[in-house]
Amino acid sequence: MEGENLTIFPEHLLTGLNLCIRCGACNSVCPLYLAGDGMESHGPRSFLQISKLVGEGELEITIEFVEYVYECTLCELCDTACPVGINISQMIQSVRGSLIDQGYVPPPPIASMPTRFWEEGLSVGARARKGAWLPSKHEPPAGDKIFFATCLSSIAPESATAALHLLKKSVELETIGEQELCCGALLRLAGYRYLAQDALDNLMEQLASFNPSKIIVPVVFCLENLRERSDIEIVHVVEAAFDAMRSGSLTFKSSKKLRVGLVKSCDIPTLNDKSLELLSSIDGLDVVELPAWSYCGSGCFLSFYAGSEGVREQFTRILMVSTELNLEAIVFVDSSFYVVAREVARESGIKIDVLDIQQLLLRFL
Amino acid sequence: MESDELLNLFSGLVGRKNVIGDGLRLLSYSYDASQTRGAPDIVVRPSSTEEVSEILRTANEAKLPVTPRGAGTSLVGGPVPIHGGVILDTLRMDEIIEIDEENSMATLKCGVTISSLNASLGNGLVFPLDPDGFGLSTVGGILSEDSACSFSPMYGSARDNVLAIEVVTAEGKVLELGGEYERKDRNLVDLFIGSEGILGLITKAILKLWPKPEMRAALFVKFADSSDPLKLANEAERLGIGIAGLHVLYHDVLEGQRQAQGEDYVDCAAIVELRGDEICMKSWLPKLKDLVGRLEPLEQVEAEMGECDEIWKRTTVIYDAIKGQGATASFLSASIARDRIRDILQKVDQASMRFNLPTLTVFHPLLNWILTAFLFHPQEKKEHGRVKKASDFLSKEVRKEGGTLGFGTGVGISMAEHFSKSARDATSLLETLKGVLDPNMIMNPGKMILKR
Repeated sequence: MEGENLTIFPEHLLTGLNLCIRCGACNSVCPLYLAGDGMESHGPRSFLQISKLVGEGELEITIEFVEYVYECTLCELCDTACPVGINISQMIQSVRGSLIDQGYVPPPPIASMPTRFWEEGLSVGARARKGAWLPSKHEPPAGDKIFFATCLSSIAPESATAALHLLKKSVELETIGEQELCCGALLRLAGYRYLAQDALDNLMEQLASFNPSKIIVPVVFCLENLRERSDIEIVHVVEAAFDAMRSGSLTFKSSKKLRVGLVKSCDIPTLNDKSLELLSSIDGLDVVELPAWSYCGSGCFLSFYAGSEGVREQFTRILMVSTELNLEAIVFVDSSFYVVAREVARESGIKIDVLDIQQLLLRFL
Repeated sequence: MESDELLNLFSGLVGRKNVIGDGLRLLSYSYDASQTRGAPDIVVRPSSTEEVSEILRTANEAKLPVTPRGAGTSLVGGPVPIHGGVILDTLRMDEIIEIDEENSMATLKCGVTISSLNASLGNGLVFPLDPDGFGLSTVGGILSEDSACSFSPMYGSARDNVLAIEVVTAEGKVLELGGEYERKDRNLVDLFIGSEGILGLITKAILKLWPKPEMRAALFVKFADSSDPLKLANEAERLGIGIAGLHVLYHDVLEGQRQAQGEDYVDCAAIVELRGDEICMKSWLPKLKDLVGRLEPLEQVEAEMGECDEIWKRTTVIYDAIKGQGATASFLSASIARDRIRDILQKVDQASMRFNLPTLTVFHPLLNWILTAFLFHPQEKKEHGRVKKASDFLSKEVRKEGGTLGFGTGVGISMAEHFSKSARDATSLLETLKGVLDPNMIMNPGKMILKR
């Protein structure tokens, strides 16, 4: 093999991996690295170095490596920290894609996504439960604004229900229900690039039949995926609630005193600001902002689903710190973060009320 | 020892979740920002001095090499376990024990990072040494390497900012040296500062804090000749101008930007900052400007207070240069008499031409310090050999001019060979001391001195 450039990665990827000067600036902003008290293997620098060894053929591709590439939540904070301008999150996606293109099998929950997609039309969850969150006699007013419940609605129906109840008073909403297609965001983050593209194409076709003016989404990864393709206005549930509050069509009453922790998003700062403003408009609600290591990346659900040790540690720490601070509830700005926290709380047995913004706001309607 | 045995041995001391015993994740501890590599057999993450002591005692009995590691930002291989064994990761020892504002002191554990230390300080105080520029380094790391930075002309290197340390020796003995004020046994503190973890592991320290500068003023100056900033340093010292930092980017750093913007040749660009109260500024700033003016600079930009940070951002051109070359860097740090700096800079140019490698060079005239990086493409195996030859060539030239290697960054693995040649007696004395403090030679083997 001497002299031969034996590599499983495309040339541009190898070039990028070789650019890393291992300064560690990326680690210093990585929530998983920080939440693990500087656990090097959870940080972006380690990802670049280990992938480089694989790319150069010095390290075999093992099951452990294939699992490892799903550790990162793709929050993109490292991209802005890198002094030599490596787009680390894109490299991670590119490594995932390369492995899948070459037939390496990702961790079982990820590997089953394509089959689930073909058979059920969803990346996660089950078709049968897709519309189950809607009340049996629910007939939403037929507006041109669509609440896109996403595949997560079959896993966390309470979150979709809360969003709909919260918004329906101020916005004329349409929901697709059981027939709603998958946008392919999770497939894309997992590295199934072509399948993700097909999914998005199909969804766009379905959405076009409703001729919507606005799409409201409770999940950041779907939001980012849709925004990339669509010229329709795509907003997050938090943003829609914020606008409704501003216009006066959504008002909250202060029923009781409550002390909650707020966990923010790494990649969509407007979501954090608007969440804070929404919560601070409620009298009696005391909001404690958790430190930067608690911030969640848009891919944290996928990483958790894939078995990421770093994400599990991060969320366990979020829950533990919340109990240490004697918080009555911990609130996440996005539903996908909420779902991960709910699962980690269940597994670890840490007792604390876990909510997303819409579920919390609903308590004050 | 089998990996299961190792895992059990150390899990018993710090808990299973604070040990990495096998697989891919060991490789995460096989590098730093240098070109050296070596994977550990186990990573152990203690949270207290007692645990460190137990780990060292255990490793010593089993004659296992122990490599202390903070944030892994060393440019010279300091935390790279080239002989395998144990990585002792200090990042869980991140407690700031006390901030004593009255006496301007902080007592902290070794895994505290510079940024978290500064974040914990009130408005009036600062810990001004930030060797990597990102606040990533740990207190243990900068003390072990005796790190310096651009502001070391005013604040000194790490050595000048520590009052006391707690050290654990290879046999697990915990020593407390120094105290809350300068005292007679200070030299014993100094023995461990900058000895790169080969004599013992620093677990705690009392650091000196500084008042935040009342006023700041900075100049960015382009010069046609790199002897100009050397003259500037000499004259400023003569006139008693208290320069806080003088950081010079050599032409090899500026070249890419110059070409991209179609500018004329510049031999170097200096950033000089003054810090002090109003009286200092009134006296120093006009003198400094006059001094700079007499050197006939090609370009000059001034800033005050917070704007000075914008001027310092110009040093990030070094990263643009690395990016522009699509290459990675191998570092060499030399200290040399100020009147020889110009000669060594010429040797850098010579090495660059001769071995066909781009270089990036920064020098600090007031510290008599030159830091140069050879850029190369790691995928091109031939370039590795040329980097080695270029480093050997330059080190030899530094030695010929009476200079030494490793100031500011540490010697580590990268410069161990050159260091032992440039400081023979010191190396031999260190070996003797190590024989006493670490008879089984387990502490950070392969660093600073070659003997293990």
